[in-house]
Amino acid sequence: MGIADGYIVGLTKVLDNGAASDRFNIVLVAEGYQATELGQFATDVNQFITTLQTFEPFPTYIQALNIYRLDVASDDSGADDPATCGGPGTTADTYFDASYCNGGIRRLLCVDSTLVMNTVDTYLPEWGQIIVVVNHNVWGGSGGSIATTCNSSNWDRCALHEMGHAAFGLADEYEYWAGCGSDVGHDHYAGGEPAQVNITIDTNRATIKWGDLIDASTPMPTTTNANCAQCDPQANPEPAGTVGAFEGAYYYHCGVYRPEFNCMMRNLAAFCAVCQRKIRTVLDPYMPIIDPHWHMPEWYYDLYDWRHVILPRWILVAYLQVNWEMKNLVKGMKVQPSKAFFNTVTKYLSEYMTKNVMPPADIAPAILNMADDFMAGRPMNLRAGDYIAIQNHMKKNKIV
Amino acid sequence: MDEIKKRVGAGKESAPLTTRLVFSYDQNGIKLVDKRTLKMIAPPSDQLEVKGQQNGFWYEVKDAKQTTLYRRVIPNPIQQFVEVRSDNPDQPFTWAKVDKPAGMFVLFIPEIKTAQEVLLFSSPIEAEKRAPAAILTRVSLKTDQKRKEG
Repeated sequence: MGIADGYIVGLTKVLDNGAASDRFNIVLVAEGYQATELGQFATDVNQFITTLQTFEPFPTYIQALNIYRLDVASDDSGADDPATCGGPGTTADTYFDASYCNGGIRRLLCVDSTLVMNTVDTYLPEWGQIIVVVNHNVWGGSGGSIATTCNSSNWDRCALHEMGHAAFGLADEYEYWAGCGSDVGHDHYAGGEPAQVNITIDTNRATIKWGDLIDASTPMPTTTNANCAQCDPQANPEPAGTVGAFEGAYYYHCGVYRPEFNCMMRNLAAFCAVCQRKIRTVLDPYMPIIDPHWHMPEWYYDLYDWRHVILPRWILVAYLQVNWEMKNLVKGMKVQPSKAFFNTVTKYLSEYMTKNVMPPADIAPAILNMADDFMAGRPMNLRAGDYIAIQNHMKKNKIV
Repeated sequence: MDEIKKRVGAGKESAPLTTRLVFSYDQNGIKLVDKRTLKMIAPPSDQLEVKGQQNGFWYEVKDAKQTTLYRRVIPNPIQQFVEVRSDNPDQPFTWAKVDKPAGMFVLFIPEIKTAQEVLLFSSPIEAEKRAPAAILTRVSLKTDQKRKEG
């Protein structure tokens, strides 16, 4: 079992959007494919890419991603499926030793994660997400930065769901634990506010985490579960895609809310608006930076009065989501910040770079990102979130 | 000035640096097993400020004054319970208890000059106990030493 049961064929860059150091790199690893079946693995990987490009925001943000295929030939096809969990008791000699029945759970399909990581590291240490695709039709998988999935139907959507957790920090939006009708102790959530962005206990439209996405005409909460002893059976009373506060999420029938009726994080549907926004935020730094010279012929630099740091008077805000309802996405827009904006940035950036003084917490990421750009010799293009953070800081501290 | 010029010159050919931490865990606890610096972009920070008491799992990078420099919310990687696929297409996932939890997980953090340590915060592992998150473990980024929260 293990590396004696196969060999590495090689790594292929299937989707190439730039250097591995600059993009979010997804590596799909073959497990339980014999050499003659690696054509099927290539087909499976292409299917994953097609599915990925079906679900926003990935089509819009595809340039942030590189996708690789690591072809590994195993002696046998499939995976171990022990009889102790109700399987047929079959064994397969495969490179990463894939097996169902981990922890006594039939559907928990795992591999030797350390061997997977070490193997991928040899070819691409800059990986951000590894998905091991196991060539077996018994439904199963497991999550994490090194996720595992079988290749039976819907595996590609399940892999996206797992990426939603591992790569983007999204919570489960479904309202059951073991299953609707069999849950015990999951009637009412009694904990504090969950840290994840896509679930909440707050139904106040003025304070809810995703309040800016809720239309004034949408009732709050948008749905309530009349019987917390069970999953809410009601159909969606609002048009599909309505953002609000739908009761039932995070494994509880009541007391915790999700942003839309359906979502990839609930039932493998399209990502809800809140999850989409989070994915975009995570992928923003991996998007190619627009060449400011091409986009702004009038570009010029202003030395200002802080000896070392050169800041363009025109700031390019890259990938600013101009329409918060997510109807339009622009690749970048040119803004001319106020003198106060420059003074604020100048103060904290120069203090950080020359005296190593940390900026206030609310704008520290923005200032540190700009310092990084400067140190790396890149134009200091603000990311949308950073630009907004600085504006909010000025507003909060009445800097005009 | 010369120093900064040198850094800018060097930076033109170098990508951002990211520290990758690999942890293993079992019934005896959590252990840092690998720390590696890579030329790649780390995921951006989540909101640094934690408002009130929050539930879940996240990690924070702190400087010497315990100022939070970076924070990332992730699912609890210590899998005493796991999300597995169900046979019901309307409820595609279900949760189950693992007999002997053991495994590994990976954290990415951006290389920040003033970073001193990384802290892992977690609500109690048992999924039914939705208590606020507390420090689970902390790892020094300077000496690779880990110490348990007392």
